[in-house]
Amino acid sequence: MNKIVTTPRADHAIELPPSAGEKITVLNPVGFPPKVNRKAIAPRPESLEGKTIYLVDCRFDDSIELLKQVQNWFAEFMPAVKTKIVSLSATYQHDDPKTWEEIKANGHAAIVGVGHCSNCSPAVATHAITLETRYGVPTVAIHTDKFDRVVTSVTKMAGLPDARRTFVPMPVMGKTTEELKAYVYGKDPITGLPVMQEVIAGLTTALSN
Amino acid sequence: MAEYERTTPRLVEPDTEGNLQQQFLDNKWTDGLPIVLPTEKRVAAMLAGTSRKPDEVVGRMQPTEFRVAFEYTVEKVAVNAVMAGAKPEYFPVILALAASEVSARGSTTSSSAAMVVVNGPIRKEIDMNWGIGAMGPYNHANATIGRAYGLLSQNLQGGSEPGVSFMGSQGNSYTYNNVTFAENEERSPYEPLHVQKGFKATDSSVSVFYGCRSTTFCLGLREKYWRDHVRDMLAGIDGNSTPCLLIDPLTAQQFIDRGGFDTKQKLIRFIHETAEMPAGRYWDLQLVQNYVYPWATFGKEPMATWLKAKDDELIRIFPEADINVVVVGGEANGYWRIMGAKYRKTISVDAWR
Repeated sequence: MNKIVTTPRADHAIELPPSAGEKITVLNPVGFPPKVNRKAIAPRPESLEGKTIYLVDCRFDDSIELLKQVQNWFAEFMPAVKTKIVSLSATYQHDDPKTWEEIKANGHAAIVGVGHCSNCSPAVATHAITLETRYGVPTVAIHTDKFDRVVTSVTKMAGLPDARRTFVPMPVMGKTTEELKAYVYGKDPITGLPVMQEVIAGLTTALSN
Repeated sequence: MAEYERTTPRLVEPDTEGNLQQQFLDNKWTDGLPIVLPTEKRVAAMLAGTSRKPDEVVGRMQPTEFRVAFEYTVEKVAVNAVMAGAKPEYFPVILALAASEVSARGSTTSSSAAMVVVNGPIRKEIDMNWGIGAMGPYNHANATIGRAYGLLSQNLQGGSEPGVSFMGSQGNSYTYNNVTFAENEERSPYEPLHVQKGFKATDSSVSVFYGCRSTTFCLGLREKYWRDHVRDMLAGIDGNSTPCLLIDPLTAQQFIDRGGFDTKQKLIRFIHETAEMPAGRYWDLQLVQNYVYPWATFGKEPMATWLKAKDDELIRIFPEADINVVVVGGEANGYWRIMGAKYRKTISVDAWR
């Protein structure tokens, strides 16, 4: 099946240049987006007192090291909250129903992190939305500030533009324990609000819209 | 399963040529270079390069996993092919690339690029270059097919905007035309790539690789230390990619003369056996920690076996099945290079004629 394609020569397609000021019509080169179906967030508890929060490590770079500082913060400031760190079953590139089922069965809320690369940031945002909308688990995603526009785009197209998230500075990889602690105990570089304040608000306050 | 609506307008508001060039640039619909404006007449001429209907769906593409995929038709691919300056006779190759659904504008912070290898009779029909300068800007088909692949990727997946839908930290100049060339089947002592991938030699096809960050190169194979020199080159390929050897026909003959590798498979086995690294050093690579280690912990082979090795034990870091060899070049000298590039797909060009 090697037929020679009989096509017009390229110069058949060449048009005379339009005269100055003449308007021409051209085609739009952009593809067709999928229909966006709006999703709803899970009901929030009034408080986290006595609740169990899963800290979900996406296994990219040093995500788990930052989550350990989140765990330390709860131990220091909200000792009545139980925390459990779990790593995804494989890489962040795969959905992980087994882990989501465990969180739904044994936890009351989740924090997923850290979204700090072009693939893992959309993945962390998507995993958080999956927990939120398919498993009914209140969830906050943690990303680095470099990916704020990525996260905005992903959550919008996923139908949950107000998905709860907070940002820490970039980079996480290779930072010392003290530096990561300063990230978690410090402020979100995007909003200027304390990171953990956004986490607590995200897990306990239902979105108004 | 996502539902798709035809919400993207077919036409752009009429304007002057200068204003439209600026609008396409401002909308990030180009690669930053001037484009051929896709008028209805030019797009119709491009569509004559295939028997497929303009409204037929070709595929869906996304910048990364976990981002939505956009859908596109034959006409949408034609619009981007016109913009790249391609001729209608190239269109079946460009459609096959679009049908691969592999984006040449993937959003990875590592700044990957695609690599495109064309095989079979189509190479001659459209005057592609597989000889001197094949991977450079000296052939209209090579140049514009590769550019069309980039433009269609960014536009048909819904964008490739730095900070939003493209996060390559440093970028990659290979992406301007995605290292697009034809294999030198005539001067190669080996089986063509597409035959290795299950096609007949008389089929026309296009193969897509992805990665193209790490590249090492060398001149020929010296008698005394050639095996060590190859080992040194392989050490420069990142652990999450796999080697694709791009060898001039002169070098292919040297591999036969020096090592007796008279098939690609024998050469690939040699590469597999040569690319060794102490296990401790391998597992400490950040990319390996991110993308290989999790699988090893869950028993995936051969990684699970590598994980049992002692730190100083040598392991073969590139599975044989993942290594590829392509013959390209004009025999001006025995230069060759290894591209860190993962093979993704081979698509029939004939199916898109």
